Amino acid sequence: MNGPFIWIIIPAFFSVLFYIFRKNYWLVCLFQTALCFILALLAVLIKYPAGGTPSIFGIEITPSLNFLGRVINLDQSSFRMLLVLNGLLGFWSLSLYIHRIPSLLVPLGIIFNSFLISALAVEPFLYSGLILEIAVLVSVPVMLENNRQENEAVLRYLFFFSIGMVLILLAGWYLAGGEISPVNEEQLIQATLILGLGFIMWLAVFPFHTWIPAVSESLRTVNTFYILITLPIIIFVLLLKYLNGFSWLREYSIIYQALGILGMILCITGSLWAAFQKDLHRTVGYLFLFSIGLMLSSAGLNSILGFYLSTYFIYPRIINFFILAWTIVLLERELQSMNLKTMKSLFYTKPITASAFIVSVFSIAAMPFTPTFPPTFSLLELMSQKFPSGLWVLLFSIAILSFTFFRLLLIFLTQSDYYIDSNPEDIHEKLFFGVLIIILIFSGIFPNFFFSASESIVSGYDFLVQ
Amino acid sequence: MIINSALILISGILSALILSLEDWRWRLAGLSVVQLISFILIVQIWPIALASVKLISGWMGASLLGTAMISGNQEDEIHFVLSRNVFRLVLMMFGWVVTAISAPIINEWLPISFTNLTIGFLFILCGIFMFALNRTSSQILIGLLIFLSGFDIIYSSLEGSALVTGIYGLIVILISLVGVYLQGGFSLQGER
Repeated sequence: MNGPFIWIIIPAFFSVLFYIFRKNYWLVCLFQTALCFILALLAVLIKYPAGGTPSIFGIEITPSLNFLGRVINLDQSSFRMLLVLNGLLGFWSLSLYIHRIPSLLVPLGIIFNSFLISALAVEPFLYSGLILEIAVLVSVPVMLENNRQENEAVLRYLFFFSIGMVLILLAGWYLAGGEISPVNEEQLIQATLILGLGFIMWLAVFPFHTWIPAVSESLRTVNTFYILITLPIIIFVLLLKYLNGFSWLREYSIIYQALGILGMILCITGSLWAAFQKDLHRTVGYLFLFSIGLMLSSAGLNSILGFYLSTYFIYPRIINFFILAWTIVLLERELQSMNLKTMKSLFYTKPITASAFIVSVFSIAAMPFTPTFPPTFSLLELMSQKFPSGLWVLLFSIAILSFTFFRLLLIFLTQSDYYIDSNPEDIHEKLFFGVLIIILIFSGIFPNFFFSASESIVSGYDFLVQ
Repeated sequence: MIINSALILISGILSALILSLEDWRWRLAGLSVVQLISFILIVQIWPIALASVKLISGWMGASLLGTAMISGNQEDEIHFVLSRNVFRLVLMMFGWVVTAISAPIINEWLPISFTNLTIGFLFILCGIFMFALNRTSSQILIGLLIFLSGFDIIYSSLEGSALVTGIYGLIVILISLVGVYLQGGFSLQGER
C-alpha cells in the first residue's frame, strides 16, 4: 500500500466526491468526520522503525510516491502532522454537525489538508512554496463564504502569501545551489535574508501581520480560525525541515538569532495589540501571533530541547484556539457584535461557554494547570541561560496578556441588561464546552502523554535533534 | 541587443500605462501584453513548448478575469482625476529609477540576462504598486498577476523545471478563478 495515495490522493478524491453530493450537507458532514477520524487513526497506528519500512499491523506502507519525476515522501514528521490535521478537521466537522452550522470546510477542508501535507512531504523542498500557494488559493473561497464583498483582508492575505512564495522559491534555488557548490559569506547572507523575508511574510510577522486580525474580524470565524490554526503550524514545520535539510544554513548561527528575534517580535506585538482591542475577533487574531511567536522563540534557542519545545506548543495551540473558535462561533449566533461591551454578564447567562473562553485564554497566557504552562516554563528556564533579554520580553508579553484576560474576566462578571434578554445555554453547548474544559485541564495536569506525541514531529530531523 | 533594449523600453512604458489607465479593459489588455513580453523573453532560454505553457495559462487567466468582469456589474464610469494619474505616473517613474539602480547590483548575485532581470523587476514593482493603490478585487488581482509575471521572467532564467512551469500555470489560473469567484461568477454553495 502506498502512503501518499492513502493520506493525500484518496482524501482529495473524497473531497471532490463530497462536493458533488453537497446538497446532502449533513450526511456529507458526517462522512467527512468519519473519513478524517479514520485517516487520523491510521496515522496513529503506523509503526515507523528507524531505517525500516513503515507498517500498520504488519502491512507495509510505502512512504513515497513518484509524481512527474518528483517524490512525495511521508516521513515521521509528516505522519504526525497527518494525525494533527485530520484529527482537528474531524473534530471541527463533528462540531459543525453537533451545532448545525453549515460551512465550506465541508468538503474543501479535506483538500486543503491534502495540499498542506503535500507541501510538507514534497521533495525537493523547492516545490513546497508552490503547493502551499495552491492551498492558500483553495482556502480563499472557504474564508470568503457568503461574504464576497468583504474581500480586502483576504486579498491582503493572498498577496502576502504570494510574495512569500516568490521569496521562498528564490531562497530554495539558492539553497539547492549551495548543496552543489560551496557558498561564500555574502551568498549566505543573501540566502538567509531572502528565506527570512519569505517566512516573515508567511508567518505574518510585524509589520506584515495586518491580514490576521482583519480576516478574524471581517470573515466567518468557523472557517477562518481553522485556517489560522493549521497554516502557521505547517509553515513552522516546513521551516524546521529547511533547517534540517541544508547543512550550511543550519550551521549559520545568525539564522537562530533571527528566529529568536522574530519570535520575540511576534510575542510582544501579539500581546500588546491584543490588549488594546475592543472586538473579541481581533483580540483572538493577535493571540494567533503570540502563539506562533512562542514556537519561533523556542526554535531560535538552537538547542535540542529548544526544537522539542517548539513542537510542544503545537498541541496547546490547537486545543486553546479550538475552544476559542467555538465559543465565539456560538456567541455570534446570539450577539449582534463581538464588541467587549456586549460581553457583559456573560458569566450569568452562559456560564460554561464563558468559563471555556476564560480557561482557554488563560491557557494561552501559560497559567499553571493548563497545557501551555509546561513548555512555556521550560522555555523561560532555557531562555534565562541562553537569551536573558528575550526572557524579559517574553515575561512582559505574558504579563500583558494576563492583565488583558483579567480585564475580560471582569467584563464577563459585570451585570448588564443583556442578562435579562439572553437565552441560556442548551444541553449540547454545556456538554460540548464542559468536555473541552476537562480535556484542557487534564492535559495541563498530565502533559506528558500529549507532548511525547508532539516530539515525533521533530524527532525525524536528525541534524536538529541529535 | 536592439530587440532587448526595445523590450526594456516597451516594458517601462507599458508598466506606466497599466498603472495610470484606470479602465479595467486597458489594464487587462496590458496584462496580456505583459504575458506576451514574458513569453518572448522566456522563449529565448526555454523550448517553445514549455514557454507556450506560460503564455497560454497567462492569457487564459486574463480571459477568465475579463469574462467575469463583463458578466459582473463592473463599474463602467471612470472619473478621470488628473492629479491621481500624474501621481501614478510619477510613482512608476520612481519605479524606473529604482530598477535602473537595483538591476546591476542584483545582477551581480543573480546570474541571469540583464534584460530579463530589468523587465522582471519592473513588472514586480508595477504589480506591488497596483496592489497598493487599488481597492477593487479585480484590479488587485491584475496587480498580483503582473507581479507573478515579473517574478516568472526572473525565475525562469534560473530554473527550467517543467513541473514548476505546470504548477505555476495552475496557480495563475487559480488566482484568476478567485477573481471570477469574487466577481460572483460562480458559487461553491450547495442547497442545504
